[in-house]
Formats: sequence, structure tokens, C-alpha cells
Amino acid sequence: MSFESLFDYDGTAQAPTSDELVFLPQANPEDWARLLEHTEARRFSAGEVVVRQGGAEQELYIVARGRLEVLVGDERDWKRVAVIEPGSVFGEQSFVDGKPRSASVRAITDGEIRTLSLQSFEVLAAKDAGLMRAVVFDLARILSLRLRQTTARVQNLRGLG
Amino acid sequence: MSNGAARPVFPNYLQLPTYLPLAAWGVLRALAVAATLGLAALLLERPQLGLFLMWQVAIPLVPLVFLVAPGLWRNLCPLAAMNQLPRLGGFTRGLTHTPLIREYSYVIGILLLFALASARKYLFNHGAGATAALILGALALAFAGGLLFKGKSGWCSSLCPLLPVQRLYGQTPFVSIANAHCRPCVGCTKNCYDFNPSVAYLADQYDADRHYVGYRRFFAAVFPGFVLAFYLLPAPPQIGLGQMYFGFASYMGASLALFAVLDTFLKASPNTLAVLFGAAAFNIYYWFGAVTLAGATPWAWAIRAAVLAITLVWLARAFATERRFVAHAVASAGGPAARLGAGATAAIERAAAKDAIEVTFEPGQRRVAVKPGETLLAVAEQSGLKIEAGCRMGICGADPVAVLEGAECLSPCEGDEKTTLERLGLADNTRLACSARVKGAVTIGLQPQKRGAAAAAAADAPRGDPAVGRVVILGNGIAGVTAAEQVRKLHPSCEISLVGREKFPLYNRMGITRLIYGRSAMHGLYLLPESWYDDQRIDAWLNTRAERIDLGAHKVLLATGEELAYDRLIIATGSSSYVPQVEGFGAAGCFVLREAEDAMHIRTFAQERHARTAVVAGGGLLGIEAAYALHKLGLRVSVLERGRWPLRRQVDERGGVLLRDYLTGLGLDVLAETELARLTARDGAVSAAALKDGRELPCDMLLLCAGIRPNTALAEAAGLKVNRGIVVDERMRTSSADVFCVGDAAEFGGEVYGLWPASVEQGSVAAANAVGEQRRYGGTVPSTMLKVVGADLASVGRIEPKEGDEVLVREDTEARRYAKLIVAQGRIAGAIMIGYPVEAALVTRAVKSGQDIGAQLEALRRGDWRTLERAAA
Repeated sequence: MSFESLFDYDGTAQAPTSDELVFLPQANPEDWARLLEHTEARRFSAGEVVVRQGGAEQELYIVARGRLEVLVGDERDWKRVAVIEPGSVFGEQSFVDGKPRSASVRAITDGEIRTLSLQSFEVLAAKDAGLMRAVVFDLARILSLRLRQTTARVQNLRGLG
Repeated sequence: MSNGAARPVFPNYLQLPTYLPLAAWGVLRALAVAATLGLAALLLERPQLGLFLMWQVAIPLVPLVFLVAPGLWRNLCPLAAMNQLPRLGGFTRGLTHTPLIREYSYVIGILLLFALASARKYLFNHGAGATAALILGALALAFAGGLLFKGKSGWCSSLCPLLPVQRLYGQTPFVSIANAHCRPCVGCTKNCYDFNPSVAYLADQYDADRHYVGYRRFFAAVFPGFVLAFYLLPAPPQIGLGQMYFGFASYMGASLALFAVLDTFLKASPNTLAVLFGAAAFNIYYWFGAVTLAGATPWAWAIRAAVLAITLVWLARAFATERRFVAHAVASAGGPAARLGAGATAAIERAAAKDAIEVTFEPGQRRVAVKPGETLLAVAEQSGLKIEAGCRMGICGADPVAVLEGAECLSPCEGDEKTTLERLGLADNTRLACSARVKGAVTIGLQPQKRGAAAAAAADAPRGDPAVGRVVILGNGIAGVTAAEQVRKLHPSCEISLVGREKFPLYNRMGITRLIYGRSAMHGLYLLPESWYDDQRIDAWLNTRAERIDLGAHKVLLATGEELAYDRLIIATGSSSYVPQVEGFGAAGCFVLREAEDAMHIRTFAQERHARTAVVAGGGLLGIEAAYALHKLGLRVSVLERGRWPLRRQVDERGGVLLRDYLTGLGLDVLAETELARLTARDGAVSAAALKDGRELPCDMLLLCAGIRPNTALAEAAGLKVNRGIVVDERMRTSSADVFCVGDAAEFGGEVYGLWPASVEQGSVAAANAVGEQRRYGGTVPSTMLKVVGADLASVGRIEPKEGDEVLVREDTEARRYAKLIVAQGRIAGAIMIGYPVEAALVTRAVKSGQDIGAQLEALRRGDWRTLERAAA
């Protein structure tokens, strides 16, 4: 079982986290530029809720600047379950399955995210099938890795009944 | 909740409150080292006192510190201080553990603990020299560990024999004291206690590595047995050394066996037994330790009772913490966010440099960063904001927004946009999102504001021909409504009757394909405020059919029996879908698309019959947009196009092929050079479309988009001159002097435009002439924009060159962009623009205004089409 969010070693730390959870590791800056061409830059201020639990936006988010926190539970009693660092991607689950957002995401600092909407993704797919294939396959890989983690976790929790 | 970050469930050391400044901890640590060295010296100088302080005072208190405030120990431990010296001095080699060290250092710590603690019984308890050696040896080892390994991995978090005890007892601290050593954290160990004190032990227990968990559970299992053995076994020389170690092994074995039995049968959560065994060991220790500390006095009982009370609270807290931990683990089961690949950083920086302008949308304060030149509509749509869209060129008025700040940072309001805004009659800060392009920071309200009463009252002074008392307008589309609005503007006192066959007030006909895939039905499609007809004093007859025009009597007879007398009649009856003879057309599932109701019927049918496939016959603008709408509704769509490429009226072959490829990429099938031959039906509903080339496509729906046919029947019956449409002159007058015709029904100069902008222009001209003014119509430059997301296709004016024209082409195969300008006599006569949304707006304006671009021609030839913007400015 891994608890990266609790042992999220900061800054210079060489965090003992999985190096598999990387989105588009093979893509070069030109590929990224073509992908980002289809994204919208949204700026946020510290404290702003960027994604709301239960929301229905079918979007994928790329953190360009700033840190955010993942919150679950009641709005008056939010619990932080993870921190999202700049240079991360999040929101892939709802982006792929279209189901409501499972957690809220709020900005800790000012920053900017780049949003890939499903519609923009479809435009990308129509214009650049190769890049689309890479994006889809990599999202599938990341989701599969998460499923594996979750499976392992369930096996660990089975004693709880 | 405040704006700050939420308090984490399990705060790490940087999030914990700090009780003392780091420097103070440093001083205290120096004192601790000094005291330890002093104790070693004391052991040699005054052995009895030294031994007493070591084994009867210091060591008996250590477990209590572990249980209550383990952070105090982690910060003050003299061994830790020695271990951290090399890091402070910058002379540590900072090595990372090898896999073998990582795996077994904790196990070695356990063995060291058992070896050293058991040796107390015959070596250290009474051996002052040995004890002093132990202390100095430990300080030296800790220092050596710090020399070699990074962070605290050389001793404190690996080999230290006290670590297993501290982790077990200190798992749920009563007082969390933030680590005062590690600035910065170097990530030296897994599930580091110093990093996150209240959760480190639980993370150990729930670790995915079975062996890693095993070592820690093993220690918890045997520890009570070890402590009990320590106190119950006689010390050598009363028993032999072998006998003593056999005793230790027996007690520990029994403890381990009990753990295993309980583990099997209690089926408790992973940490339950570790907590209970830790509590047992702690209480056994103080059961005997109480006597060591207080002698056989009532104080010993008091100590035992106090320890038990503390333990009970500790147990409750530990169990609760585990539940919170599990809840947290479940909530965050997705794990951390995935990192971006290495190529992203540079690309993100470059993208950020391009998107330099900030647009803020109200309500909600959504801030987006965009490239200069983008339209507010594109920005709002791409941000997923709720906004309507129609023609996307400022004519229909579907997308009015309020400019709250920074109006000067938008492209100027002119031409069609200005005319449309006048019709809408909203507040002065209104712009049409599709026409306003950003040049600097702006704040936009998505809800346009109403014009103040004062402004509305300041209308033009009354004018108009007194001979014109009654104006009747047939048709409630944009041509008829524009005519009505203009008549009212020019002639405040006449009666205006407006007869519309459709059930709805003026709506955005260019947006009806949205009714197919969108879920808001007509909501958002209306282009006028509800009170518009009343405000304009227009007598509206909706859902009403005009039956006959009596030119001689100047009357219109309605099918409901009423008669409307007129002084001037404006016919704006529009057009219907052209339906060629196709065998089998008319079965259920066959549709045309011209009116809002058609679109709603299509959506209804698709749902009721669970339609999966559709064929759209006709690859014109409407056919492609309808096919896209059906595709968005989830159907598999094939488009049939007679020619070699779709949109033949708007683009040339190069552009058409590019468009076809794009549509194919979206998932639409575009079949060129083929035509519908006949339709097959099953159970009364269409089931397949046979093509003229012999292919047959199964389909649940068939949509015919074969063009329009002007609605001329009324006019023809009345005796007006009709060719394809109702023939009009340049004043929009028909063959009868008091009767005008505008919009799709009108034929001007041999042409039936069938375009929204032409209807607007014609409506204005007819209205002016109807009330006695003189205005001429000179034709409309056709301009269209394909409403398929991402296609970015615009076409304006003439798309094929005539002799003597210059053709400028820009092409970017990689990005699938293509643009073509036709330059004739110093003006741009027409253009095809695919993938150049910003330039398309400039070019369209240049074509429509007939602006002389002689001065810009050189720049245009070089491919610098933004020059048109500078020219206009």
C-alpha cells in the first residue's frame, strides 16, 4: 500500500514515489505544444475552488503553475486527501467516464491550469490522430495503474470487514 | 472556511505548530549531548550514581516520553544530535541505502535492542564501565551513520535499537512536536516518522510490502514477552546464560504465538493487535518499573494506575486514528496526480507566453488567458461557459454580452454587429461575443444589460409618410422581423401587423441543429426579449396562416377568417426545403430540416426509435451541420455528396478535401460523388438507403438536405411576378407597387440568396421604401461560416478567380490549415479560410466593406494577413 499523499516529500526531496505515473513520458516539446494548442488557460487565485465535487465538466486539467489541494467531504468540513503540484495532470477519471467529479480541487497558491475539454479533445483527435492515440493510451495506462493500486489496497483492507 | 489551505487530516512536520525556534532546539540538543557525555564521565568517576541515573531514572522514563511526546525525544536525543552533525557540518557523504540495508536495518535494530536490553541483566545494570562504553559506542555509531548516509537514514530511522519501541509506542502522539532536524527533507526513508508523526506507524502496517509489514508486526508480537521475561527471569549468575536466553526465547515465543492466535481468530484490522500488544508491553514495563522508580510504596501503585489510565486513552485514540487513516486511504485511493512528461515544461512556458491576455467572465470570476485576436465567443465556448452562438459573424444577435471593464481593449464595434445591436436594443455596453476580439484585459458579463429607460426614450423624432397607415408583413423570420423593426423605427405611428406561420417568436434559425443534440430545446434560441412585439407596437399573429392576398382590395385573408387591410405589404414568407423525387421518401424516419420544429421532431424520433445510424443526403452547409448534430447525438452518420467534395458553394476542391478529412477524423462518413437512389422501409420506417453507385447503407433515419425552394405560392396566386422566387427590383418592390418582398422568398437580379445577412439587408431596404423613403439594394456579398467545432471554416464572396485576378494561397499541411484570397482590382473579392479564425474575421470584413487593399497587397503576398487589422485601425 502506498500513501504518497501523506509522505509527499517536498522540494529537494527525492520522493520514493512511483515513476510510472507520468503522463506522456515520450512526448517531446513539439507534441506538447500541439496538445496545449487545444487547451484553455484558466487562471486561479489562492483559495479558489477550481473543480467542485459532483461537477459534470468532462475536462482534463494540466497544472501549469501553482499548487492545489484535493478535498473530499462536506464543504464546511473539507478533508484534504492530496496535494497537486505544478507539472501534474488531474481529472482523468471524469474526463474519460463522464461521471461526476469525485472530489473538489482548491488552489493553495495562485496559478494556472490548462484545460482540455472533451470537445477540444475531439477536435485534436480529428486533426492529429497520432497524438490522440498517445493521449488516450496513456490515460488508460494511468487509470489501469490506479486500478492496480486500488486492488492492492482492497486486498490490504479486507481484514476490516 | 477561510481562504487558506484546508488543515490536512494528518499534518506533516511542516504543517505542525512549532513550539520552539530551530535554534533553541539546537541549543537544547547541545545540552543533551553534553549531559550524555557527562553521564559517561560520571559512570567512570562515580559508578553507583552513574548507574542509578542511567538505569533507574533515564531509561525508565524513556517509554513514557515515547508514548506522550515522541517528537520531544526525536528532537533531543543525543544520538540523533551526533547523527545529524555531519549533515549540519556539510561533511556527510549523503549515501542512499542499498536495497539490502533498506530491507534489514530495522531488523538489525530489533536484534540490537534485544541483545543490549537482555545484556543489562548481567552486563550493564551493574557494569558502570560497560554502560559508559555503551553510551560512547552508541554516540560513535550514530555519528558514523550520519557520516555515511543521507538524512536520518544512517541511524535514527534505520539501525537505532530504540526505533522499534519508539515507533510502536509513539504511533499516536498526545503531543505532536514538529521535527526540528530536517530542513529540507531529503526523502531518506519510507513512511518517515519525522515527516508525518501521527500516521507513519499506520502507513507501515498498511504497506503493500508483506515483508516490510512482517518485521514490524513481529516486533509488536514478541515485545510484551520480552519485557515480561526481562523482569521475571533471574539474572545471571543465579541462572546460566544459556538458561536465561532460553527463558527469553520461551516468553517471546509464547507472546508471538498469542499474537498469531489472536490475529487468526479476532480478524481485527491490521493495526489493532499491534496497538494492544504495545499497550501490554508498556504496562508490563511500568508494572515493574513503578517499583524501580518509587520503591515498594503506594507511589508505585499510583504510577501503575496512572500508566493504565494513560494507556486506555491512548488505545481509544489509536483505534480512532486507524479509522481516520482508512477513511483517508479510501478517499484518496486514486493515488497522487500523475506527473507530466519531461517535454511539457518548455511547451507550457511557450503556451503561457502566447496566451498573454486575461479575460474575466462574470458571474463567477472565471479568469482565462488567451491569445490576442480571439473572439469572446471562442474564449467563452472553449472555457465551457454557458453562451449561445448563432451565425458567428455578428448578424443574428444570439450572443450579446456586457462589457464590464476594458471596452477599449476589444476590436471596435462596426458593420453588421452594430446593426444587430441596434435591433436588440440592449445597454450601450453590449457587444456580440462572436464579433468582439480581445486586444487587452477585459471583464465580460455573460448576461447582457437592459437599456435604461432614459436611453430608450431618447429615440428618433416621429417621421414617416402619413399616407402609410397600415403595414402588413407576412413572415416572422429575420427578414420579416427586420422589416417590421425598421418600419417602426422610421414610422412611429403606423399600424404594423406581422403574420407568422411558425409557432415561435423570432428565433435563431442558424442554430436549429443545436435542437438535435442539445437538451435545452428552444431555450436560448430566441433572439428578442419577450416583450419586443408589444414594445414595438407590432400586432403579432403567430401560428397563423395567410390564405390569400387580394392585391386589388389591398387585403390579406387569414385562414382563421380575419382580414388584414394594408397600405403596404411586405412578403417575407421564406423558403421550404427542396424535396426531390426519391422513391420511398416519406416513411417514418425521413426528415427535412428547415424549421425549429423539424429539428425537434428529429430529436424526438431518434430517442423514441433508439436510432443508431443516419444518412444525410446533401453535403452543403446545412447537410454538414445537421450531420454533425446527429453525430453529437450519438448516431453513426454518413453524408452523401453529389460532387467531389462537400460545401461546394463555399470552398474549392483543396479546401473541400481538407474539410472532408477533418469530418472523417471526427467520426463522420463523407461519401463523395454519390447520390441517393431510393429508400427501403421496414414496418413503415426507413431501414436503408440505396445509392446510385449501387451501395446500400442501412439507416434508421434519413435527412434530406437538398437546398431550399422559395415559398411563392401566395404571391403566385395573387398574380405577382414569380420566377424561382418572387421577383423584386432594387427597392425590393414586387410587380405590384405597394407590395414588397424580402428574404428567402425574394429573387433579386436572378438570385435567391437564402442567407441571413441578405435577409437583414433586404428587410431594411424594403421597410425604408415602404414608408416613403428611397433606398436601393445592391446585392449581398455571401459570407458563411461552418458551425462545426474545430473546423474553423469561413467563406466569403467569390471563391474562384476570374481572369486577371490574383490568387494568394497560404497552406500549412501539418496543422491542416488552408486559406485562399481572390484579389481583384485592388480589393479582396473573396476568400476561403480554414483554420485561421482570427484572420478570417479580418478578411471577411475587408471583402464586405470593399476596402481598397492596394497598400497592403505586398504584406498579404508575404503571408502577413494581420496587416488588414492595422489597415482598418
